[in-house]
Amino acid sequence: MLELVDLSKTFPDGTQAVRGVSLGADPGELLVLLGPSGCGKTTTLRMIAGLESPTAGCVRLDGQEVTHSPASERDIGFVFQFYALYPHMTVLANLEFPLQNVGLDAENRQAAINDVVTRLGIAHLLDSFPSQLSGGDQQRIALGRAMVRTPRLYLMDEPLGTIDTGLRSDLRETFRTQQLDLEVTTVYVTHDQEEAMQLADRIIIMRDGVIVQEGSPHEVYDEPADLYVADFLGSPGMNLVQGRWEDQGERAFFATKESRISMPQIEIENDRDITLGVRPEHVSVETPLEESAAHLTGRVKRSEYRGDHYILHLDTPAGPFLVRSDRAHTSGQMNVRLPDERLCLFDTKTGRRLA
Amino acid sequence: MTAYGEGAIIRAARNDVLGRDGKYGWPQSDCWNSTLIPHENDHLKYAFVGPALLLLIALNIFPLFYSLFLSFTNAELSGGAATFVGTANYSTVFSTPRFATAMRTTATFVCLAVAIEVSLGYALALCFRAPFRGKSVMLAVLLVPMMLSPAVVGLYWNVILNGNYGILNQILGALGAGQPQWLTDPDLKLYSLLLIDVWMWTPFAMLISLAGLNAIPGHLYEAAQIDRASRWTVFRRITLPLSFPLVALAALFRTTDALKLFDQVMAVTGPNDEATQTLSALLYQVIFRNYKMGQGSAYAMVVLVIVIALSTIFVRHIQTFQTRHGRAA
Amino acid sequence: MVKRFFLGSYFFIAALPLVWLLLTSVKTRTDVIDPSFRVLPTQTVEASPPSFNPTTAGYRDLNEPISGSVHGFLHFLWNSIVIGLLSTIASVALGTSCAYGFSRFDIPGARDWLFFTLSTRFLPPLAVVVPLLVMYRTFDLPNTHIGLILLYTGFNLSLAVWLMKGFIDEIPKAYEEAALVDGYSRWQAFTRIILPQARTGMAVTAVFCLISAWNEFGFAMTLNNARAITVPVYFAGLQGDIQGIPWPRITAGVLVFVAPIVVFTVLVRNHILRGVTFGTVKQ
Repeated sequence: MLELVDLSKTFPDGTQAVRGVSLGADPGELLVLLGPSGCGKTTTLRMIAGLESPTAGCVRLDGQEVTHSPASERDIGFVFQFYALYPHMTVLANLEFPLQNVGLDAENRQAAINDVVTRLGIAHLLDSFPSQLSGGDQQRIALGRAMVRTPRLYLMDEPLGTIDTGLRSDLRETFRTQQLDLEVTTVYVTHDQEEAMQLADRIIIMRDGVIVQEGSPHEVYDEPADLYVADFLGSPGMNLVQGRWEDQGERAFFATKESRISMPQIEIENDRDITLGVRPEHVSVETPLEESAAHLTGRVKRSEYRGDHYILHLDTPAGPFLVRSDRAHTSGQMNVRLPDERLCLFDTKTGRRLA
Repeated sequence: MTAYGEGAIIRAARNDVLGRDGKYGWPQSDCWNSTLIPHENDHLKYAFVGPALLLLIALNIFPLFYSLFLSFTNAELSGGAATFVGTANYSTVFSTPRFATAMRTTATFVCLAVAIEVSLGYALALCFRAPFRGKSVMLAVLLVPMMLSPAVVGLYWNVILNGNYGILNQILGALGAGQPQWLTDPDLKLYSLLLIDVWMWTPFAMLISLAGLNAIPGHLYEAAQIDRASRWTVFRRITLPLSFPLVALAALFRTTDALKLFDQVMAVTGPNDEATQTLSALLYQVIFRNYKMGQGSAYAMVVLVIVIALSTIFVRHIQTFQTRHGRAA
Repeated sequence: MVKRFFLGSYFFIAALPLVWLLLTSVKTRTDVIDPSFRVLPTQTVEASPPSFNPTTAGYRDLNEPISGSVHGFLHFLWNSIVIGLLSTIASVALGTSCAYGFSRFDIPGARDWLFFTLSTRFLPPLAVVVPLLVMYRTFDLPNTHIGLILLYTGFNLSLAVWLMKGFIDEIPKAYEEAALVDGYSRWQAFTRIILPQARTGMAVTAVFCLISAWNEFGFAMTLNNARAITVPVYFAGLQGDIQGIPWPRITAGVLVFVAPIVVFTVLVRNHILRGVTFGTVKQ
């Protein structure tokens, strides 16, 4: 439905905001572009919209090339971070504006507006001016304005970035429900990983203008493609321990300066610099240990209360280490088992994942 | 200043910034007068505003009342005893055909000048929005005329508009057009003054319009593009209404200023030229050429009423138009 | 494309009078009043093929009295300078303190006062000149420098108060609060905290007051006919004697007179909008 091929954007000042991004979206799919500010996600979105002109590559919508056609000819809806409602028009006029521009008659305009107003529950706001509304309500109207013309594609640029936390998940739910109901393909930009996990059919993680990884929320969380993704996703992120691979024939070890952890057999050359990654919730605190199992021993420095669980801050020979636990541990030594199937191994130099 | 003092000032300044932008810090707006040093204001504040206001009263309020008083007397410029003549001066004012003529001349001038300057200035501002090479130099050159003395500009334009050797007629001659007598033809004189005024003040309207246009957030244009608005729709429904308040302000400033037109009249045609006698020129003629101070004061009072009424009506009009426009759109 | 053309042609037409002013000042009088199409100064007497042949005679004879006048141009320029500078200093001083009062204190009827001061600016000078003349006669002020200085100070006060109030409103009150807490008196806080921070504002205000006093014509002409005549009055008085006046000398004088204004315009270019709209519009 939407297809980007090697899309690049270099700004006149020489900044390479986007460097060769290729991706596709299926009809009805919700893609989330996720990354820190400055990673090129917004620029990519704006190029899809036609608000920014790519320096290379192409954009296709429904198989039709639109790379350099103006935004007004692409039939898309765009929700801006700062709403961009017309301040001199009432909410009603704001919703009616896109319909008037496509030459719809009054009766059909009314019908379309009624539909959106019911969906979003904004009937009581129609006569207000945007400046009289709260941020949440303004964004609801902006969403309505994008929906009212039933465009073939929704583009959303951090629409909830300026909304208070409580209201945020509310709006997120409203939006997702409507999007699923209307089955409109959507590209959603955010830097909030929680939002990305909650909304996405597929997450596309960007960094420095390129796509680092794409996949379902499950895939990118459990199988990060590199150290960056491993650290970026999750709160807290993955435990990352630097060390060396020791292949001793029948047994393999992950060795740090002060410790050696026995590892399952994997095809990695001896003496390579390796970073071991494991999520805090995937390790378990165990007292009796099988000799062969991979494990770490550490001392509890502090327990951080997180409501339904604790995050234990451990000092291990391999460095600081976080463990998720159901109980608080105040002090003392403890053993942490590293489950083989949950371990991620990264090449320290390139950052890419090995296994 | 002590080290402690500087620290405190910086802290206080930070607090102020937080108090304004965030929701933290103590409220800044209303605390000043009451909380910090109670009652210190009472004697001190008048020391700050007093001298200026006294001078304003002496040079503005008092003369107005004095003028009102004089308008009921037959005072003459040469001095001597003035006697009370009741409303005789006002009857003279309203029965003199010259007054009606001056009113018409002024009204014509104001309407044309404001209409031309504001629309031309707005059009220029639209062209000035996009950045281009040499923009700031161009802007600076355009702004020079309005900073110059109208009287001196008026005198100098005599060289340009002179019927025989003026550059304008030389150019027209070279183009094979006629040789209009800009300064002596009674049908043209007022338009010569208008030409000078447009030259001087169009950049003023442009400057204000430009500020109005630049204040429109760029993302509204992006939204309009997404909403599939045509270029004309964007101009009519976004650009025009959002820049209107400042354009109206430009019109207001120009109206009140054009109403006073006097300097150029004096420098181009003199005060007693029937075709260009504005209200101010008429006032000058009555007071300083006919020496009738009492009658001049009556004229002045009438002019004052007109000026005040017009500016009030204008301000009201702007306010209502804005609200109505906001709802209608 | 259309925009470029429109802008370009307006610029060309608007700049023409300025260029022409420059050209006229370096011509001979014969050249100026020659009705044939002559753009460049040629000194008609000798040059048969028209060529660029400027003369500085206009500038050399700048100070020659014209048509029976006792004084030359420099006398009137001096009047303009004295009156302009002194009235500017006075209006900025009074305006700044008044603006500070309105900005920081609760003055009864502050809004009314402010709008009153603004409205005085809309009045035609000719409408208030009669009572002023009578008042001035009582105090022997017509034809004196001090009379015009006083008048321009009052006349420019509205501008100074409005502009300065805008600038002072932008200075956070916290600076003075901290100073007061540190034991400064209110006056010390004003002179040592506010004034240094309001320097730009005061400079901009001074430039606009100076320009306004420099260019003023209505009052200057009606309250003077002898000693304190300023340049605009002197120049405007030449009207009606078009054929007889020595244009190169006059235009040279006009150039000398407007040069400082052009320089000041460039200096305050970032604040022009504010200056011409009494601080109601900020750039």
